[in-house]
Amino acid sequence: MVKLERINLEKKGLTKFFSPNEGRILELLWKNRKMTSPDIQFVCNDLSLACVSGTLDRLVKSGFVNRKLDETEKRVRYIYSPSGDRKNVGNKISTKILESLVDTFGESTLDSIGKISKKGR
Amino acid sequence: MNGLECYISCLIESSLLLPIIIMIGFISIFLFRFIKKRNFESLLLSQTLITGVITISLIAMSCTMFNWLWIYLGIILIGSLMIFIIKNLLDNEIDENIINSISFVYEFEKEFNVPIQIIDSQRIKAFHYRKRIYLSIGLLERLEKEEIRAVIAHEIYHLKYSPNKIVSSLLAISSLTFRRYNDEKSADKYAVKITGVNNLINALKKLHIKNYEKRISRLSS
Repeated sequence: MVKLERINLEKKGLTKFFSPNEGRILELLWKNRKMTSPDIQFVCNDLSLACVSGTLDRLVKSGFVNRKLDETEKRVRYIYSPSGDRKNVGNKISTKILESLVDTFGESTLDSIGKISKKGR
Repeated sequence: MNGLECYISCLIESSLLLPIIIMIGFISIFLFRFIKKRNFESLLLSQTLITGVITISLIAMSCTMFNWLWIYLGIILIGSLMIFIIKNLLDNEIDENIINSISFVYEFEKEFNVPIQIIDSQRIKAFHYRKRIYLSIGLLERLEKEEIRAVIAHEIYHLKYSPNKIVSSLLAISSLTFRRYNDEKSADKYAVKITGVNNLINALKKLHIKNYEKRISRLSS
């Protein structure tokens, strides 16, 4: 999961919650659904092999990306896919942040959520 | 009389100790610095001799004023004990997720007669630990079969012939030479002998291993 201490609301887009490389690879997987590591490396050719590999391992460990082992006689490789779409990831992160806010500020957080949802309507 | 004067007078007054120390010292320096084909055995021998010389002279003189030499002996003793404990009592497993069954590596296991474990990681990893070789999926993904053979052969060399790193470090400290034997060169040579030079060069290039350009130029020459 996204670590709360890494959240930086001053940044833009996904980089509020992910590192720039994590966000970039996640966007790529949402767009293409299934990709291998060389495919990702081909698109993100400005990133080093070690950087792409490390980012993929981190995304899998945090549960935002799944990987399946594809084994043939001659080759073995991972096939990566996102564990959920953009909406799912949004839900996961929102829940985590809200839980933390409710835990700290209690009812005042719930009041704020009520106000925001009224505005939204 | 201070510690150094005590030490020197002890050396001069003994009839055999000084010539023995000088002789062993010269042999050690010769083995360590001037042997053309410096391999692990020569380094190990010279470091053991230097350690021995320091230890013998300390014990023979019983010079209580030179306390730091006792500290030196203590380091050797504690270090040796620690190696013994680490090697025999602790049975730490590596902190990696292992994929249990993967048919891809069976033929390599048969060929080299060594268990190969596959690490569930996209990162490039190849190492040996407790009579096993560990390779990551990230590595297997990037290389052709013959290149994987070259990597395994390189690790086999480390597994069979490389000195224990802790022992090497301890000897480097206790002999005051501060030099640990690095046998990457020998492991590369071994892999080339088994799989041919091109496979290892290709593997090093593809994986961008640390110092790979230096290693490739050494293999090509």
